[in-house]
Amino acid sequence: MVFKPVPPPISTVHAEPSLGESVFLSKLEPLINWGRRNSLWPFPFGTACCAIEFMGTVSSVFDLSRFGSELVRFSPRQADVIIIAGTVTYKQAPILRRIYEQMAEPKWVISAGACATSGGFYDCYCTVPGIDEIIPVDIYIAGCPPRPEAFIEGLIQLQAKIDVERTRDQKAVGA
Amino acid sequence: MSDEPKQVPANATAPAPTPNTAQAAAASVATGPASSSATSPSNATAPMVATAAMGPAHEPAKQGAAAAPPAATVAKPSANEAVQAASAWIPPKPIANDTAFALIKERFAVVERDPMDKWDLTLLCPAEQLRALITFMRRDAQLTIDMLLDISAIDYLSFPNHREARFAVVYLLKSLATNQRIKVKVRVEEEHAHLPTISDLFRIADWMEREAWDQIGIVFDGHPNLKRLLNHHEFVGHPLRKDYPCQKRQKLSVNDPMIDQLVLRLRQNGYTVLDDGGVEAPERLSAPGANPATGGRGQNDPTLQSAADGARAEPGGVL
Repeated sequence: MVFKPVPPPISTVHAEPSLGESVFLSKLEPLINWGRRNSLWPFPFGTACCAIEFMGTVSSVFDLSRFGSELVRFSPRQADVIIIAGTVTYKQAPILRRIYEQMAEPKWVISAGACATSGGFYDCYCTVPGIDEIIPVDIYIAGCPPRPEAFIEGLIQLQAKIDVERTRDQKAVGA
Repeated sequence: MSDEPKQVPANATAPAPTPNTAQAAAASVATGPASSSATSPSNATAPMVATAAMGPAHEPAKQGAAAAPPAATVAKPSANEAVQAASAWIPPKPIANDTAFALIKERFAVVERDPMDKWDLTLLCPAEQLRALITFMRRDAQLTIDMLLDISAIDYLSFPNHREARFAVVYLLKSLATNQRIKVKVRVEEEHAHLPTISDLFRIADWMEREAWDQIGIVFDGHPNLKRLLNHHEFVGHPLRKDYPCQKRQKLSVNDPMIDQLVLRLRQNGYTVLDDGGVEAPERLSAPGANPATGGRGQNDPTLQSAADGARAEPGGVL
């Protein structure tokens, strides 16, 4: 796996010496992105073995909470990022779509593993060939299933993506 | 199955391994429950009753040895021997396939034996005789076919050198008493893919027939609620047919609330489902003082009192 170094956050935060270095100046956008990237609450849409790996990722050995993704929420209304870990069938597709629509903006999507990304490696009448047929995806994680390190790498990539987001590029709610 | 002397546990009262080992070997060589009578008479006699009640499928040779009294010099039975005595029970054997087929052929002349049959008895049955055949096998005292294992459907579209009907439905049946297994194969034409339902004979056939309809497209006439079981209700086509394009995409939108299944179950249990969606409980449940947990019987019901006293409450009336 080629490790792509994470770009440093566009940090324009600095202490103002003329005010006794007790006041920090910044732009609003990096401040918002800084808050968002470091408190990504995930919603696990786990349907197959990828979800087992995700359980390992959030558990103590790999400890996803080191990266701010601390609280796994089982309600889409409280989550920022939905992690689709596993096979999504045609029968389940309307459910996934509805859960995604229940999430509040801003929201991100991580597609974990071969099944969620491409429908897996079998020709199957019942599997959606990639969940990006249904909902927009921000990060794809390779693997079958991906190891916990790959999950962490995916989350770091998503944080790097959030860092460079601009408020005026964000779509309206429900669009 | 081989018995080794070192497996006999060390027993302080046993004088030498020789007699103990000989008895344990006799019990484990499957000569029937009689040889283990030295260990525990109650263990030995119970299977004898069972085999005698199972009908003519057994050679009665075992009954003679059952009366051998325990020798006075035998040491007290160890735990290992008790386990061996309990596991020495042999289930009744199924009758031979030829005998079973002769039994069936006597009643149903049109039923044939599948020439491609390899293991169990496979019958070829026309659709109009299916229900009668299964009912007969279920009620026959020798066959006692009382369990439906599975219903599977076959599409012979790409099968080499196949000249018969395109589909076949196979019923896998079993007798719990004798472990006899019988397959019934019914050929179904593509133009008229209909079969009579057997969901009233075996209740498990309800979902199995729904699955066969869903995946292959066999219509079961008389089924109470023939709808798709595995696939979405907006799914188009029958995906296990060989001519279904497996990469075809389906657009499905509204989930099935499955209320119809609930209504059927409520009606089976005696409830009345109203047009506005309301539900009225049956009379035994709506009476004053009725307790749903006891099937509608009140606290002062004498059957419940007797149950509290340790007697067995009469069955029935429970949801």
